[in-house]
Amino acid sequence: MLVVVFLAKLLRRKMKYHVVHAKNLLKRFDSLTVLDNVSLEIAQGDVFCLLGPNGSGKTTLINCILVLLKPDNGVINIFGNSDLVEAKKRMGVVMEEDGFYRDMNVMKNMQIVCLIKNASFNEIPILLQKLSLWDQRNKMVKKLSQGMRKRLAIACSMVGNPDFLIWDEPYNGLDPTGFQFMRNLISELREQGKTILISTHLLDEVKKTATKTALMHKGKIREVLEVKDISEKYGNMDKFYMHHVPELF
Amino acid sequence: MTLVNLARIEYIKLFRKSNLLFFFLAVYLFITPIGRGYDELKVMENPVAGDFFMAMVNSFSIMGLLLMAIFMVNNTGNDFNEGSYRKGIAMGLSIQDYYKGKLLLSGFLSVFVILSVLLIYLIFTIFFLRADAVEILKGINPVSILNQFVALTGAACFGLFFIMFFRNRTIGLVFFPFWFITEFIVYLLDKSGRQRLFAEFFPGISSYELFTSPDLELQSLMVVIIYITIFLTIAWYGLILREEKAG
Repeated sequence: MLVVVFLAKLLRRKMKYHVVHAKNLLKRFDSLTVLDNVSLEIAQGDVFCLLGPNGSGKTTLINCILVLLKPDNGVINIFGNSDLVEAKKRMGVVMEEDGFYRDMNVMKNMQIVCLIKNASFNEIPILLQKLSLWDQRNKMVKKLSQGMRKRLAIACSMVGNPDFLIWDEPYNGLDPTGFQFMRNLISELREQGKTILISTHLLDEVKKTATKTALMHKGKIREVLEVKDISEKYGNMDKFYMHHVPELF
Repeated sequence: MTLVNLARIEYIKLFRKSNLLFFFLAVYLFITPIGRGYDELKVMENPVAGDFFMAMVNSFSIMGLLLMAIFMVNNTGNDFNEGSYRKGIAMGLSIQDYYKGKLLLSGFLSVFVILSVLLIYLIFTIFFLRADAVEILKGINPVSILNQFVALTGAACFGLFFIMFFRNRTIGLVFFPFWFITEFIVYLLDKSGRQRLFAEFFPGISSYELFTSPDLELQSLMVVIIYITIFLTIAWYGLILREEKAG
């Protein structure tokens, strides 16, 4: 039995494929180039962190992946599929602004997500309990704290058991327990073979949770590295960041 | 996505707190025709049920159409204001499905309004007029019901067009009362006979004339259908041609 489990794990690792394959993405807003020839590959099972200062293009890149913005040039494939609308069926999303129906309660917001994802309402209690929101289920979203809204956004992103999660600034508004909870959740999802793309500024969280990181600055990806290689190459995460974004220090 | 799921999403969103005001207004609108009918009943010598069906429809017309347009502006505008439309698209809701959901909602609300008019007519004729079933049924005008449906859908599409194109709920909520007032001033000037202003070709007036017509009015019907086509086309392009930047 153990051998079978071991072989299955080995096979899963060997069969890693690219969940995201983006090539030469260019995006301009009027004369401002927000994405400048960005290419990116995210392998299945990676916890991939997009690092970078404000305005570096992280959210724009995510919005292009989510088909909210159309790149002026370049191609994006997700799960080997160029039809990103179709690919979104296997994706879960946390956006920078939560986008909830604020005068509706937690349950109803979750029900709408289930209907969009064509998932069963039976998932709702499981996810709300997992995110410690079950007691808040009848509360209006506008009455939730920022941290709770973030947890709710994460619960929504997990509806339908997606293979690929995109979390844009998931740590905003979380308290220290929330951070610990996120670390545990990410490690649990990683165990399940999920791929996660996280956009954040928090270097410490990248160090603790990510497998790979890309540093973006001024619309360009400066470097993509395995997190375990950062200390070898730069000493620590701060130095890696400072190396690429020296003007901010 | 299935039509059932789309309908369920719109149904869940229908009973949110910000829509309650519209339900109260609708209740007020439903009750006023009974009062007006009762006043007329007192001065009539031999009242029959058929006299009251169009009276109910007429007293509902202007505010019913206005309410329909601003309800669509409020409902859809909330999706844009809160970012829930953007989030829905990010989560996998296609623009086509979102649009279909709004069309379903327009149709559902139009049917709801017509059923409400019928319900008021039934309440009035059963409890105030004490008419028998045959007389009550004879009084219902099926052509008028068809006219009402098209006119209400026209008003809903006017609201959809405005909010999907301009994406500004507050301006939309203010715009429609002003627009309808302006149209009715033009209508009155036109009716006075001093100046020909072609008011019957305006979107609000054409819907109003269709709504209150007991017969098949081909001209009003065609004008409203043309407006519906134009509004829906612009609304669709307002959705697909726009990039969804963060608000």
